[in-house]
Amino acid sequence: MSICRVYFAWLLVGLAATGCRWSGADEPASHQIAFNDYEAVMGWMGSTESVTLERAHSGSHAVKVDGGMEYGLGYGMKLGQAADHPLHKLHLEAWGFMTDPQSTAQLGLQLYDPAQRKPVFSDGIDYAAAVKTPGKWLRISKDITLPDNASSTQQLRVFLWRASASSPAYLDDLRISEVTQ
Amino acid sequence: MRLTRARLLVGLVGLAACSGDPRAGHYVGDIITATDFEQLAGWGDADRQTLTQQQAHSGRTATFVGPAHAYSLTYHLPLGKASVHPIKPLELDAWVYLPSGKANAVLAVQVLPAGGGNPLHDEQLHLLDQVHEFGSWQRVHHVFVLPWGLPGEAELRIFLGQATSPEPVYLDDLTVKARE
Repeated sequence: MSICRVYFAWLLVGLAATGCRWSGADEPASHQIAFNDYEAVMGWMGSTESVTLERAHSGSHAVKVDGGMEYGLGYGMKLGQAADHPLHKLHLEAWGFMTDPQSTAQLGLQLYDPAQRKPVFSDGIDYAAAVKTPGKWLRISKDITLPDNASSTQQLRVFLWRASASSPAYLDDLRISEVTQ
Repeated sequence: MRLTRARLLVGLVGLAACSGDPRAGHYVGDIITATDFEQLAGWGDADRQTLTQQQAHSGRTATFVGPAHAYSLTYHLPLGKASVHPIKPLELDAWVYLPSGKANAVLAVQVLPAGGGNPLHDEQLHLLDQVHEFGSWQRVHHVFVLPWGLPGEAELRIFLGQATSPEPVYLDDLTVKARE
């Protein structure tokens, strides 16, 4: 516990020294909506079959899709609950891992409309184009502008999707934030 | 700038150690769960009815019991998956918010047989035994002792129960360690 106190003191020093700014001056201001490193999801929900200990970017857990698993454990929240104001532009950021060139998964983002019972907007990041190099963890990110007519009742969904991948693909440290400028 | 970033990193690594990163500290392999509930709200099929932003000790989200919610979000895994070693004493650390001395909620640890039936173990910490200040977040700590020889398939459940509390009670920053 005393070790924790020392570390915590260093954190405070670090925060004070950086003026409590989490992002550098060269990055646009952003507000975090959700983050997951998948370390503490097991046990707290029904299905965590996509969470694996095989490899991880941080900690010991990550999400995996492969021939037997189409969707990774994802995030879903009504836009009106994800933020207390209308969201226009989001920033997706994560670490991806391809085992070989066939790990062509996607980090998907959708707006799902419950009234129409279907996604009304889809975007995402292709592993083949963004991760490219198999065998190591690489950072992937994308700014995504939501449609002007997005409504607060539509559900924001972010998830790892197998897409055309026939080999395992992994995801860790997924962050969804709002770009505010 | 490099130095400040390095300091920040040291601090963050330290914070991770405090919040149960399995790479750090002397509890390697012994953390059963450590959550501030931030990474559960909206993720997977975690029951969002039991998560709230009305109160939180850290971040924005906590779990709670109250009218129409007899149980908080519940941890449930077979004993054999909850820990790599047979679980003996369970050390629980958490922050709770009780509005008044009537908020007689309990933190419960149960072990249920795999096929259903009566609990093999059922132990409760009455929060009013440890909490004497109300309307603010208070830390509670308790060591639950499981009996020997529980089967690995039996389900470990950890939750906040409403018991007879007429008022909402909140739970945040829960850490459960398997003690050697």
